[in-house]
Amino acid sequence: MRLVKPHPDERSFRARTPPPGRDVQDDDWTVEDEGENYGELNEAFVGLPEACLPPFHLFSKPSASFPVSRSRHHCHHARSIGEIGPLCERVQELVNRVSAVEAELARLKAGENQTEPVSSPMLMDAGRDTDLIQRLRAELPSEADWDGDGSPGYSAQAIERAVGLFCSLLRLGRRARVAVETPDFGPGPSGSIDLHWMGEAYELLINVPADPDSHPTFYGDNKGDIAIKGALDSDDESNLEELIKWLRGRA
Amino acid sequence: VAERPRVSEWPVEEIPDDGVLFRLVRKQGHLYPSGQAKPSAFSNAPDGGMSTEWNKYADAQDTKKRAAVLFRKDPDPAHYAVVALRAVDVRALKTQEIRHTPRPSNRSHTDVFGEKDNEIRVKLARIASLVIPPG
Repeated sequence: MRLVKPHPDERSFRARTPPPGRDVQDDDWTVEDEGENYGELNEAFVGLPEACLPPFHLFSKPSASFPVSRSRHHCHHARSIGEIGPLCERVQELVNRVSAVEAELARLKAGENQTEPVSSPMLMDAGRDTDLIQRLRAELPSEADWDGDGSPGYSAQAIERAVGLFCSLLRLGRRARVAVETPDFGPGPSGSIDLHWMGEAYELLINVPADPDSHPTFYGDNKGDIAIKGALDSDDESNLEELIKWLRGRA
Repeated sequence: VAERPRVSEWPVEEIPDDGVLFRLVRKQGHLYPSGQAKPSAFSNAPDGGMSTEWNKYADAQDTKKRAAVLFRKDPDPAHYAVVALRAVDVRALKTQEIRHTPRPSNRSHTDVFGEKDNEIRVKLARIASLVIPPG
């Protein structure tokens, strides 16, 4: 068997073969042994994260007092062999714990990129959703006087701003555990874009103006006497928190 | 749906509360598949008012046919629908003023003046009812 050493660039053991004619290099030692204990040891550590590996000094490490060439079949820390069983159990325990932590981290990371359920299959990632922007560009005419009535076209900038606003709402909603459905994106007045939510118990309209220097405005109500109305000072997410709170109350 | 104001020989009349105003809306962008009008269907024309037609001098079919005249770039009436607004409901919005503004070629023409902010557009969509679907 070959007792392998973890490569510094890797997280797991990697078997390495000594150069021809040499059993051991100073910084890259390899101990070979025919014994079963070493075989078990080797197998136990293959593929384990480096952080879970036991210190090497526990095993047969070459030293000046005990040349490696003589340790080919006999570890100078022979007593360590007897400790291998408990050590493997300890390592396995650590590996299990690390695996559990890694799985939890992966789950949390996936959760960060996951949005609340929306009515469209388009899920928003950080930033803008390209598919949605492209669809709106195709649906909303960009040329002026598109209706023969003097109406301005819908600029790519206004569309991207509207989609960006929606993405911000999605992120904030996810953080606050509020489901934000995909609104209807419609042609607003004077080249502006409407974002319209029409639920059973509430209705919300955000209008994103064509002028990038103008603030989006919004109005929402519960189809009764409770309403929210105003302007968003900027596209900054903090300005949308009130809307999220309001949506939470309507849900 | 604005026709440029011109001097009309039609007398301007007061529209009663039980009057009905028809508005031409686009199938795409102005209507949900259910037939519910969207807020985007309601906005002022560049000259200041939202064009409608009073039911005293026009019916919904007349309004729909006018699409071919009003929308030169997409004159197909199949692409439009007609929604109705009761005058009393429009007046209940307080900030909106209904004014009969007949045109030489259209005695029924009526404007709804007043800012069409988000609240008003939401409420206009809510009180509108579909009378002729697209197609």
